[in-house]
Parts: sequence; structure tokens; C-alpha cells
Amino acid sequence: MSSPLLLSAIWVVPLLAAFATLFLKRDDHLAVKLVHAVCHGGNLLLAISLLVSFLAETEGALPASGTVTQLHFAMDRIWIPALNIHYNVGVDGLSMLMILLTAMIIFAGVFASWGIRDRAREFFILLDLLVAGVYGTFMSFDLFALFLFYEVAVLPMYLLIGVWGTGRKEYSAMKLTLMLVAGSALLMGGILALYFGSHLQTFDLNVLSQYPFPRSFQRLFFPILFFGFGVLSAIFPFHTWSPDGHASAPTAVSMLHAGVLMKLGGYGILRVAMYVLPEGATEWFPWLILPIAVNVAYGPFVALRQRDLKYITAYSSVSHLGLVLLGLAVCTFTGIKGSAMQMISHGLLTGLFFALIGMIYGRTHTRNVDEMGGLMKRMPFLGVSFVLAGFAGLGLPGLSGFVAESTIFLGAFENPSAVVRGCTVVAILSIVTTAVYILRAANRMLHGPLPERFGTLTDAVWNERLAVIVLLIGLFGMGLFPGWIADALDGSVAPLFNNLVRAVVP
Amino acid sequence: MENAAALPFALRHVWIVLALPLLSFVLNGLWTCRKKESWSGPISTVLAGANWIFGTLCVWQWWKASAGLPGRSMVPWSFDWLTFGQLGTFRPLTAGIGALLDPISAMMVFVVATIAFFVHVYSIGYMREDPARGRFFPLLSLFAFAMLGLVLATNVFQMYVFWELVGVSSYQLIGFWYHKPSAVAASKKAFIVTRFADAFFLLGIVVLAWVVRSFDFSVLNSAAAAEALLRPVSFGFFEAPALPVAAALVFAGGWGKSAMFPLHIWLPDAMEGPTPVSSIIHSATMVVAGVFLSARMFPLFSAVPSVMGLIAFVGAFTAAFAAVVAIAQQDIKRILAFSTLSQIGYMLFALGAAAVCGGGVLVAGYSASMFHVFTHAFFKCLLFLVAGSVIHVAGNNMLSCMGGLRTKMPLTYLSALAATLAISGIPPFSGFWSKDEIVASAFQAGHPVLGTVGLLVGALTAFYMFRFFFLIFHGEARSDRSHAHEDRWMTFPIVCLAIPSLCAGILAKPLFESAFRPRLLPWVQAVEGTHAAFVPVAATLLALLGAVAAWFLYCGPKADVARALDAEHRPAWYRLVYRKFCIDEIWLFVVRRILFERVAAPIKWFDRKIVDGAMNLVGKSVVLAGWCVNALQNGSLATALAFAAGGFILVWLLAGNLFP
Amino acid sequence: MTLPSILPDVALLALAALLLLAGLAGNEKSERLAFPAAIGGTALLFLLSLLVQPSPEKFLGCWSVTPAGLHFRQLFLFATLLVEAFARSYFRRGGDGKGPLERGSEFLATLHLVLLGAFAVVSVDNLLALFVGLELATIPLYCLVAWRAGDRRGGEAAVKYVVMGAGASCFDLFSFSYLYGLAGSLDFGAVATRVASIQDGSGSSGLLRVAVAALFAGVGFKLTIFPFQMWAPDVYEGAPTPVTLLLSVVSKSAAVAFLLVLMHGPLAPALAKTQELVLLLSALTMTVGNLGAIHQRHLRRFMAYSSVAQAGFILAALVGPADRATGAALFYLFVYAATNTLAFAVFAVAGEERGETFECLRGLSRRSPALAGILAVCMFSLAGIPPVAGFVGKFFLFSSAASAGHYLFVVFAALNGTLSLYYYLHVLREAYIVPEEEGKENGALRVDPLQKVLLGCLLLAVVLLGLLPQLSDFLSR
Repeated sequence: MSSPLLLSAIWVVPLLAAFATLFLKRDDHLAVKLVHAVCHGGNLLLAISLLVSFLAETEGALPASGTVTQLHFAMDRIWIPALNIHYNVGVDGLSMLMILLTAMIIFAGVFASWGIRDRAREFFILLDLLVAGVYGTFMSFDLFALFLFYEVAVLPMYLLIGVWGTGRKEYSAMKLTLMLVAGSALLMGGILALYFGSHLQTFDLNVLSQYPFPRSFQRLFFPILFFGFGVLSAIFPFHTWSPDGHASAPTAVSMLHAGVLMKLGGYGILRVAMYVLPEGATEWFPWLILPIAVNVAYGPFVALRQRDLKYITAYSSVSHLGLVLLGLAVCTFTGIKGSAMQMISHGLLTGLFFALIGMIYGRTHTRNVDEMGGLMKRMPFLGVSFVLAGFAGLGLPGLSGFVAESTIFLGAFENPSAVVRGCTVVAILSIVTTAVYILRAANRMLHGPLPERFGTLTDAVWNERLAVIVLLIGLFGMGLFPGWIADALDGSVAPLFNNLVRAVVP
Repeated sequence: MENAAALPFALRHVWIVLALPLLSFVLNGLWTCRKKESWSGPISTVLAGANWIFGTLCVWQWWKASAGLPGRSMVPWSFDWLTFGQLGTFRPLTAGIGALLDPISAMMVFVVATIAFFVHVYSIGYMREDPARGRFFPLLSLFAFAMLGLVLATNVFQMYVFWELVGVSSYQLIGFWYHKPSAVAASKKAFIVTRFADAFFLLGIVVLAWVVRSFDFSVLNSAAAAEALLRPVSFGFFEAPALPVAAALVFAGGWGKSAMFPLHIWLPDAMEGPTPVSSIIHSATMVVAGVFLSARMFPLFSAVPSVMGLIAFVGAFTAAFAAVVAIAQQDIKRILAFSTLSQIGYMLFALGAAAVCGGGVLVAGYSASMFHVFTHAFFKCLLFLVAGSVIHVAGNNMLSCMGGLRTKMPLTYLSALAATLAISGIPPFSGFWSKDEIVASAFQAGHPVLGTVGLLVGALTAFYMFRFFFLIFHGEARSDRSHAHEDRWMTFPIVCLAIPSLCAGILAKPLFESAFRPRLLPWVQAVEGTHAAFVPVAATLLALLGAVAAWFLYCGPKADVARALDAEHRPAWYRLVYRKFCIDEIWLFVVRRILFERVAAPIKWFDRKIVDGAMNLVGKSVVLAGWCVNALQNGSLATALAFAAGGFILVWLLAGNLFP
Repeated sequence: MTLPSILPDVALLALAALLLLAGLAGNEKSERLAFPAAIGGTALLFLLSLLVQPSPEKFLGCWSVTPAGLHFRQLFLFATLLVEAFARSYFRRGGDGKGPLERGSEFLATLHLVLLGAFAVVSVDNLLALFVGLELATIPLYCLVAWRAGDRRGGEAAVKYVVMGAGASCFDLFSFSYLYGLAGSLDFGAVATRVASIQDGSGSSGLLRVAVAALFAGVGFKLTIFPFQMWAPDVYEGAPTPVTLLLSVVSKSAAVAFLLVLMHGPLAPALAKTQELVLLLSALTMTVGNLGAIHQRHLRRFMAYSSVAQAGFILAALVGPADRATGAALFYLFVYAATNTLAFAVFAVAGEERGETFECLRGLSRRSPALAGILAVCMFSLAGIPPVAGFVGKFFLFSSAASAGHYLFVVFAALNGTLSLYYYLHVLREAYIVPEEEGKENGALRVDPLQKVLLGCLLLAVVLLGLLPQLSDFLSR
């Protein structure tokens, strides 16, 4: 029953939920949340069933040797004839896993934002729009559709952070929205350049990737596409929106944004920039690796000095995203596979972190680490989950962080050039600073004497437990049994790598 | 993977050794620690006992099954966990999880299983009143699982995986009483220092994996790997042949985990954890992981004289340094911690000193080090258990509150005496045999300096151990003894461990000398040194000298115990030794002042002010431009018409270059 | 039987005359009937224009209905229909804090004359008729701006508009006379051949250069291109809101049509050169429009700058090849008409008592979530953010510019789009984020049935227009 319609249903279901919410009364909060719990729960089950049938289909598949991505559950219909735009939807290993990740995080996000009272309908409608955009981006293989869904995912951010956020919410909301839309402005130019530059008059990624663009064209447009997508993955000079944005965003939004949206950037680079302009990639990456290495080594140091939990997590995201980009920048098979795994692992990890911070903030009404202490006694469930998320963050084996990081380091070391080797050594040694700031935050918050004003705090209630458990299953699932994820990613990374290698030896 | 069918039952299912502690962790962790606190102790002890029996059965069946195999090593069970390269390509790099049984890993399995069981039994007594005991036993089982996994590792990747798990479980156990800020700080320090060393270990693994394209020890220790590693490899900042750098990096992992100088600072602070934790983790198993790693990689390390020299020097220096510091300590657990450091120093410098000056490797050095690991595990664990029950009675760790416990705790007294005699190297107890072999192998391998250092440290060991012994059990009681009694649960393991402390040496000596022979690389020739006869005599005399001196100072008629215990009115050098040569303060200064203030703060300032500032600047300039446009738009008709006319002229000029 | 292609034009003339007569009658009954008649008539005309086929035959020697011309007719009728539906509430209940407007039927008649002028612009093939059409499309607007009797601001705006308009007409006439001087004939064809010969180097192009400069000055005024757009903010603010909407939708469409007719008509041979000019002016216009709109607090003045910026974006399309540019501009103008009317409708409802300033939108999301939702859709469509129609419209504009190879210009234009998002989000900030002052929380909003229909239809149009390909297919045929 793995028909392509089910795949399209994945991004239609959130829109249906949003449409249904329009007809609910303003003060009927519970109904709104139930509608969304049901819809996103259904979506999660749908995603799992699609994954199962995907794995069944690719069971004995021999390693892909071609340079074109094989799509499963593919559907290709003409959409706007004027510009030959198709609704070209399909899934390969990476897209399928990212869709599952999104389904898990939005499911947890809905339960993590059970306490929203003020204008709940608008909040959940915007959240649905955000998720529909993300789903669409991961499954569309037509550049226009991908770009449309990519920008839809950015649209609700201003209102979500501006209305329901905390702290300097207006400033952060505007800053985040403008920097991301400026990034996508670069993409507008890049995409149209690919469409007209290739004289093929098509937006189909697989067709464009085979077209031999002239080297000068690639040298000009690869950085445009890379930084267009890179802004969303907080590449070094353009990462400042991430701490402010995530610190002010409400729980579910920062979960979704840090957990999934920041992966859109890395995914975009992988799927569009490297896939269609391989020569540009191999030419530019030796230079682009420097800001990426700064990303990786730089984040932990700044996180060390932060007091606000969300800022610490935001800077840890900057550092982990740096690892994703490092995996891509080294252009080796294992490196790219590692960065794909890191996208998934970091998604689960940051989603869990922000969920827990939201819940703890809901109780202690402060995110300053110095003011808190000894919370483990009052909130054992949240405490243990925070420690587990922390260990996943610093790459403890048995949790998803380690599997991804070790793959990236092994992959990165295969690139023989000295600059890349230096950056890899710096990245490997930065796991120490990561451990330092995570443990500082965890210890200062959870351990030590308990201030009396937190004496009466309660532990997680049922909806919070459900949200946390879903994400913990993801963390342990990927950490203990990484085999099936690695094989699924082989199928999707191989054609891209062959395409890249074809570029190096034309 | 030999033909699985032919193997006896225990070997075919060797994974049960790992499964039992994991089952205990999961069972207790999820169920009993919330509902039935009191059940977690018995359940995990029963499972630990079963694991001990099954472990011994495995070792026994392995001993019989591997008689004919080269180096007696076999891999009865393993599976592929994660592949890094692409399936089907010519060089896929796969990391597996499995069980490699060979002399050193079998010995360690037996040691870990035994000590885990006895510590579990001891903990039932020790943690009886502690409300959080439901959380203690699962963590102890997790540690046992991780340590067994590390010991049975078939490849360096699996060893790194369990290496980190060991680090985490020790972090949790040291910081078990998390309401105490000192315990929290100690656990964080322990984890970060070991993590610092593990980063180099991971880098070493990555280098080895890239050059040799495999993680398995059999491949890493092969001649082909050594040749491949000789080729120069670029490390970004410098270019160097891979072998010495990779070997040094891998040893660095062991350096941190075994708390060698200067990374030793975390072990004394790790005593903040409950005593059963110290007895298993910081005496017998985890801290020996570094030595085990060096022994596992011995064939590769022995091909690199510089690394062997480094190991020997670090081992010897730590042994001497720790012995000196142990003399002045007041806290009995700190004394045992530094004694552990000193003994591990011994083991490492035995491995290091095995490299004979003129080339070649003395086989005796390797077996001596492993023999000392075996014997040290039992008597050090016993000493910690004794310290635990003494603290249980005296109320705190300081020597000033103890004394005269001989009458109240006879069994503990006798066991403590046995352990002290063993560790001091007084014949015929176990310590003498293993330590004597180490010192003898040092002399045979042509390192007289190291040998004499070994002898002197032996004397110092005897001195501080007997100081520890006399000040606790002899002299008059320095605090009320009304309720002092020997808890049944705690005394039983103490007595059981006293037996191997006494006879392990004699029984195991022939076994270690015959079975524990390293499989060296072809171009490294093994040397059978002649037995330096004078060493046992000298060692015993020095040990007795140390013991008598301690008796004279602390237990004899003219002993001034009060002066012995106060550390303030002492000459400057004594206070320096008491404050552990201020190494901790130096590290704290380096980390806090330099790393946090001088590096992290400027980076944060740079991020908030420069990078963020630049973005805000762009925003502000756009808003300012907007203000200027509005100022221009002052609504007067004259300006509008002027602009129109100006515009016409501008367009005319623009059209100029278009229509030449 | 195929309807004669001229039928819509004639019917429009008849409708305008009928409305004028109703105005003359001047009694109560005719006033009430004026609006339904006008809206019904325009709707009928719009349907008629959908049925009619373009035909090459010429009426009165110069008037013909070309395919592009027919599409522009449909656009003008669609826009005028929206303006009339929007204006009815201003004549019935008044708006923007002032009383109702009078003389509804005369207003509608004048409106239809403007429409006729626009029809003429897209139908004629000689310069003189083109000039007459343009003047017919502009002069009635002068008096519409001052429609509210006794309103000083309206009068002042009208005077500015007249003076600037007169200046622009001079430039147009100046440029046409030079072109006539060059070609010796008023006919587009003759002028085109002469320009082609100049391009090949025979004869000096000094005259042509002055003609083109004057032409851009003239059209720059009507299309609010950069140096000539200074009048727009004051006139948009001074005029009554329906007229502001008329200016920003119908007048701008007519100006775009005028420029397209000229660039691809008489000046076709020099297209490459004029496109360079358009490129530069487009970049300047959109930047100034965006920068100007940042600090606005009055809604109509804000929409003035917004329309200047949108003019910049539309010009970006004109840089592309003829068919792609016309198609993109038409599509975007349809979307722009719908979006702008929807925005003005929301402002009308929100600002009925408090006056149309940013303060009237404050706390809208709590008072009426539906209206706030519609406002959000509007603002995102104007800013060109998917999934609403504005994005696809902008994408067509940029694709036409990109097809001419100006990729970096597209990036610049898209960055300008980001700048525009900055001030469009300020509107949403008022509606959603800025807390309501006390005492005004529950001001009920009166929305009469016609406005409800208008809001509903336009919302559907703006949301679906982009995603469904029907409109873009229809225009590209």
C-alpha cells in the first residue's frame, strides 16, 4: 500500500488539520490540540509505514552505481505549463529518514506546546504551515516546488516568534525572518540561473544534475546556492540569527526550527548545490571549509560563556551544524553519509533539548542556569532526559550523536588535503569543549543544593512524558542500531558521490 | 569466527557475560528504582553472582579450547555493527561488536566479574540506609557491562565505544550524591579530563582506520599494518610518519583513563563517590583500562621505541610522584587513591621498560605487568572495602577520627593486615611476586635507573601502607566507639578477598610466565632475560625497612601520633607534599583563567559585538536610508518638479551611452 | 455567431453615457441604482471580454483588438470591477473617519471614462491616438482625486497631481513630436522602420535619444518610476481611498500597457537599448520605494510607497523578451490588483471610525481573527512569500528577467523583496504583536454583505491564484 499518493498525503495532512482548526471556536483550546494530536500522530504512523515499505523495497538492492538518484513512491505531474514546472515528488533514503524525523519532532512539539492558551488556533495553524513546508521540501525533486516549500517553511516564523515568543521576541523574530529570506533571495537567483543557464527549460533535479554546466558558470553560482542554503544552516558569518531566534521562540517552534529547519539548509546544499554543480563544489569546498571549521570550533567556546539555557543549546546547534557542513565539504562518501546521519541525530537531539528546556522553563520561569540547581530531586524524569540529551550531544556511544560524529570524522580524514586534515583535527579535539559546556549546564541546573523556591516543583505530566519518550526512542534507536540507517543512506549518497567523483575526473 | 558448532556451550554464548549486567541495569533502572527500592540490591547481586560463575566457566572452557591456537586467542562471537565505507566497494570499513578471548582478556574477565560480585555484596550492607540505593545498583551494573565490553573488544572501535560508556558510568557513580557540590565538581572533573584524553584516542583511531583500513586488533598488530603506518601522513599542521604519532595518540587515551601524571588530578577527587564505587572503579578495573589498552596494542607499540620510552618514563615518574604524595595525606581514601596511581605507574613502566636498550623486547616485562594487574586488583579492592567499613564506623574519612579499631573489628583488622603485607611486597604474599618480577624485568632489560626507582618506590609503598594500617587500627581510639560493629554483609567480601591477596601470587606465577607471551612483529625479536637474583632480596629488605620505620613513627612506644596527624605546623616541603604539589591549582588556573577568560570571553565578545553588530549595522543603515528618502519627500511641489526635470536629464544621460 | 471584437469597447462607451445621464437626473432613486448598475455593467463587460476573440481588422482606421490588447482589456475591467465594489461602502456609509462621499453616479461615469482611455492605449496604432488615449486615461483622475467636497487635503493633492500630470503630458508630446519628426509619419510601423535604420547607423541618433528620454519621463510619471514618483505619496494620501486604489491598480496597469505598447511597437528595433534603461530604472525604483515605506504610519501613504516598489518589480519583467515580459506583467498585475484591493478592503473595515492609520490595525488579531488572517495573507502576497499568489507572480517576473540573462539582477531584486518584507511585517506587527490600548479592546467592526463577498472572493483568489495554473495558462495562450 505504498502508493505515491500516501507520500503526498504526508504534507497534505497538516494543511487539513489547519483547515479544520479554522472552524473551531476561539476558547476551545482542547479541541484544537486534540485535532492536531490526532493529525500529527496519524502522520507519524504514515511516515513509519512508508519507511517500513521503503526498507522492504530497498532490502537486497545492490549498491547504486549510477549518478541519478532512484526515487521511491515517485509521482510526476505537470503543474504550471508556462514554465514547465512539475509536481515531481519522490523519496530516497535521506528524504525518507528526514520525513520520519520531522514527523517525530512535530508530534513531540504538539505535546510540548499543550499549555498554549493565547490564540491557540493561530499558533497551531502556523505550526502546520511550517511543517507542511518542511515535508514538501524533503520530498520534492522539482527545484521550483522545493524552493516554494522551502520558503513556506520560513513564512510563519515571524508571527510564531513575535506573538508567542519570550524575551526580545520582536527583534529576534524580525532578525531571523529577514536573514533567512535574504538567504532564499540568493536561491531565487540561483534557481533561475539553473533553469535558464541549462537551456533545458526544466526544474527536474535529476535532469539538471546530468547537464554539464560550463566551469565558469559553476564557479559563479555554486557559492550563491551554498550561502543561500547555508544561511539556514547557520554557516559562520550568518549564524547570529540562530541564538537570538531560538532563545525567543516558543518551545515547539524552536524544537521544529533547530531540529528540522536548520537541516533544510544542509539538505539543500546536498540535494541542489552539490548534486547539480559538482565541479563548483569540488572547486569551492577547499576554501569554504575554513568558515565551517570556525563554526565547529567556535560554537562551544561561546556556549561556555552563556548563562541562558536556550542560548547554550542554540550555540551547540551552530557547532553541530558545522559538523554537518564539514561532512559535506570533505566530498568523501563516508563524510557525506556522516553529515546525513548527523542531520538526523542532531534533529532528535536538539528537539529533545528544546522540549525539555521549555518544560523546565514552564516550571521554574527562569532559563538562567546560575539561578537553578538541584532540580534532579524534584524532576527526576526531566532531569534524566536532559542528561541523556546532553550525552547524546557530546557524542556518547549508544546514543545517536556518536554514530554520526565518528562517521563524519572518519570520512573527513579520508580527504588528503592539508587544510581539510587540519580542520578535521580541530573538529575532533572540539568534542572536549562540547563536553565541557554541556556538563557545566547540566550540573549547574540539575545537581547541587536545591533552592527552596523550587521546593514544590512537579515532575513531567503525561503529555510531556509522551513528547520526551518519542524523541528518546529515536536517540537510542539510532544510537544502538545504526546499521539500517547506514544502509538506507548508502542508496541515497552513492549517486551523489559518483556524480561528484565524475566532476573531479571529467 | 571459528566453527561455532564445535565450541562448548559457554563459549558459543559468550555474549551472556555482557547480557547479564545489561539486563540488571535495564531491569533495575526502569522498574525497581521507582517502585521497589529494596529489591534492586538483591536482584543485581544475584545477577552479578551468575555473571561471575558464567564468566569463570567461560574462562575455563576457553583455557581448554584454545590450547592449540596461536597465542591462545579466539573470537567465538561477533557481529557487524556499523559500516563506514560503501557496501560493495573494495575497502569498506566496518566496525563490529564481539568477544575476543585471549590470555589478558580472559584474566580481566575473571577479575572484573569477581570484583563486581563482591562489591555488589558489599554494597548491600554499605548502602542499606541510603534512600537512593535504587539508583546505585543499576549504575554499578552498567559499569560492569561497560568494563566487560571494553575488555572483550575485538577491535579498537568497540573498545572506544565501551571506553566512553565506562567513563560515563564512572561520572554518574562519582557524582552519585549529587546534592553535594564537591561530588558534582569531582564527577565533572573526572569526565572532562578523561574526555580530553579520549579526544586524542579518537584521533588516533581515525588515523589508524584511514591508514590500515580496519579496526581489528589482529590487523592493527600485524606486520602489514606496521609497514603501512610507516608512510608519512599529513595532520594539517604538520607532516609525520603515522606509526609513532598514531601509537602516541592511542596511548594518550590510556594516559587519561589510567590517570597518569599530569592527568592524574581527577582520581583523588573521584573519592567523593561512595566507597564501593572507588573499590571497583578506581582500584581494580577502570583505571587499569589504560594498561589493558597498551597491552592489547603491545605488538604495535613495541615496534616504536620512542613510545615505549614514553610509557616507561610516564609510568615510573607517576609511581614515584604518587608514592611521595601518599605519605603526607590525611584522608584514608586519598592515600589509597595515590597508592593506586603508584601501582598503575608500576604496571605501565613494566610494559615500557620491556623494550631492551639494544633493541628487541623482553617478554618477561609484558607478563610481569599483567601479573601485577591480576594481583593488584584483589588487594587494592580489599583495601578500599576495608576503608569503606572503617569510614562507616568512624563517620568520616580523616585519620584523626580513627585509631584503636583492632578490638572492635577483628576480621577487618586481619584482612587489612593481609592486604597491607601483600601490597608492601613482603614475601610470600601476592604483591611481592608480581612487583619483584617488574623490578627484575626492568634490570634485565638494561634499565638500572628504572629498576632502582622501582625498588625505592617499593620501600615508600611499604612505609605509607603501614602508616595507613597503624594509624587506623592501632593506638587509642580518637572518636567514640559505642556503636562500632562489623556489618555481616560488608565483612564477608572482605574476608573472601583476603584469600587471593595472600595466595594469588604463588599460585598464578607459573601460569602468567607461561601463558602471557606477546605476539611480537616479525622484525622485533623477543629477548629472554637472565633472572637478576639480587632483586628479590633487595626488594624484601627495603619493604621491611619501610614497615619498621612506619611502626617506629606511628605505632611504637615513642610514636607521637598527634604530631603525625596535624599537617599545618609542618615544614614548607611537607605542606607542599600534603597539597599534592598544587598540580590541581595549576590545572584550575590554566582552565579557568586562560581557557575561559582569555579565550572563551573574547570569542563571545567577538560574536555578540562584531558579527552580530555587523548584521545590526546593515539593518540600521537601511532604516537610516529610509529616513533620508522620507526627508526628501517633503511634499512641496517645487521639489517634485525639480526631481522630474533632474530625472529627465538623468535619463537623457543614461540614454547617451545606449544610443551613441 | 462570433461577437464583433469591438463590442466591449462600444458597450463601455454606452455604459459611461448611461451613468452620466443617471447623474444628470439627480434624484434619490437614480443615486441608489447607480452602483448596482455600474457593478452589473462592468461584470457583464468583463464576461463579454472573455468571450470575444481578437481580430486583426481595424476600426476608424487605427483601432484594433490585438490578443495582448484583449488581455489588457480583461485586466482593466477586472480591476475596475474591484474598485467599484470597494467604493460602494464609501458612498453608502463613508470611511476613513469621514462622512460618505456624494454624487456616486458621476463618480462611476468618470471612472468608466478613465477605463475607455485605458482601452484606447492598448488598441491604437498611431502616436496621436495613443497620446489622446493616455490623456483620457489621466485627466479624469485629476478631478477624482478632489472628489470629496471641501476636503483641503484632497484639493491640495489634486493640484499637485494636475501640475505633475501636465509636466508629464508635455514630455509625452515632446517625445512624440520628435518621433514624428524622425519618421515623417505618426504610424507605429513607419516610426519603427526609421528607428531600425537609425540603429543600423544611417543618420544621427541624437533626436532618438532625446525622444526616448522624454518618453521615459512621461511614462515615469504615470508608472511612478524613480525620479518621477515624488507626487505619488501626497496624492495617494490626499485622495479618497477608492481613488487611491484606482490610482494604484488601474492607472498603473494603463501605464504598464502604454510602456509595453511603445517598447514593443515603434521602439521595437531599439529594444535591447531600452531594456538596459528599464533595468536601471527598475533597480532604482524598487529600492527607493522600499526605503520610503519603512517609516510610514499612514496606511495610504504606506501603500503609495508599496506601489512605487511594486512598479519597480514589474519593470524588472519588462527586461525580458516581448512575449514572456507581457505575460509576466499581465499575470502580476492581475495578482497585484486582487491583493491590493484585499489590503484596502481590510484597511477600510478596520479604519472606518479610527481613520486609516497603523493604529487602527492594533490588536486586530484579537478583535477579529479572520480579518487579521486576511491581512496576513495580503502582506505575504505583496512581499512575494509562498504559498500565496504574490510569490508565483514575482517568480514569473524574475523568470522573465532571468531569461534575458540578468541573474545577478534577479538576486538584487529578490534582496529588495526581502527589504519589502521588512515593512510588510510591520503591518502584521501592529495587528498581531502590539498590545491593544485599554478601553478599545472590543471595538466591533461593521462589515456589510458586499464587503464580505469581496473579502471572501479576493481571499480565495489570492491564495489559490498562485497554486492553480489556470490563470498563467490563460494568459500565455
